[in-house]
Amino acid sequence: MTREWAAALAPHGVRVNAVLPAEVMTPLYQAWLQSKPDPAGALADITARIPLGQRMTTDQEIADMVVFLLSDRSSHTTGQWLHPDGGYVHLDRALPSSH
Amino acid sequence: MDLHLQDKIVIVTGGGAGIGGAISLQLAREGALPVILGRSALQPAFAETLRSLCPRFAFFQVELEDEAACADAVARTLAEFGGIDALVNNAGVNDSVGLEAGRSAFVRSLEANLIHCYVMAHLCVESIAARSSTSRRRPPSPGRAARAAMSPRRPRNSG
Repeated sequence: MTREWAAALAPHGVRVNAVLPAEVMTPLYQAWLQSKPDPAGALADITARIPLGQRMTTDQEIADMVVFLLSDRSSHTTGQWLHPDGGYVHLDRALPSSH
Repeated sequence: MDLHLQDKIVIVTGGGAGIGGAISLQLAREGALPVILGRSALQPAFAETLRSLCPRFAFFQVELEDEAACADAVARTLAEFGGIDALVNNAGVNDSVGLEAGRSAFVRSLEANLIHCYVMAHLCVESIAARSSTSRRRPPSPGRAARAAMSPRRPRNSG
């Protein structure tokens, strides 16, 4: 949909982009974590697999990406998928070899 | 860095909490005017913070699966603010509906996470395009471009 809409709307000067968060501590994420037998252990397992800093992405970091895409500072960016996720989805090769 | 977002009217679905709440607050800090569509009433502390940043922000309590309610919120936004510059289709949740869940659960998941993205874009696109100045050949004048952003996938969290 991102690319179809971006293609359809480019002649109208409208840009369409997608932001794809991965591991962000939100109220719903917190609730999901608490449903696990060992929430602290589950969180540690997840953060260990996030190359940049072994930490969760903050909601502010997602908001900064979205607001940048809404602004003229990204005026020639359209039809893109952005992954502000500390490398979680694409960079597992950056993890220590134990992973 | 000036993002040239002053007075931009930006609809944020699910913009009252979580990631969507952070988006609304950051838009307000940049001088934009967030219009939040959400299922739940705003938490008082969040509403107070947002109001201190942007006294004119708007909130519509709607079920995003209710197309008529969405259309009404968009119409009221157009009436009150004169247009829409951008849409952030943020609302959604990872409901873990997998192959075992079956058709009705899958359709419900699509309604909760995908269909309203289309509906909101459908309702907003005319105004967004009308206010766009992003040229095909030249850089935009500061502060006059319009665009839409959307998040089709939202693993294990929501706005």
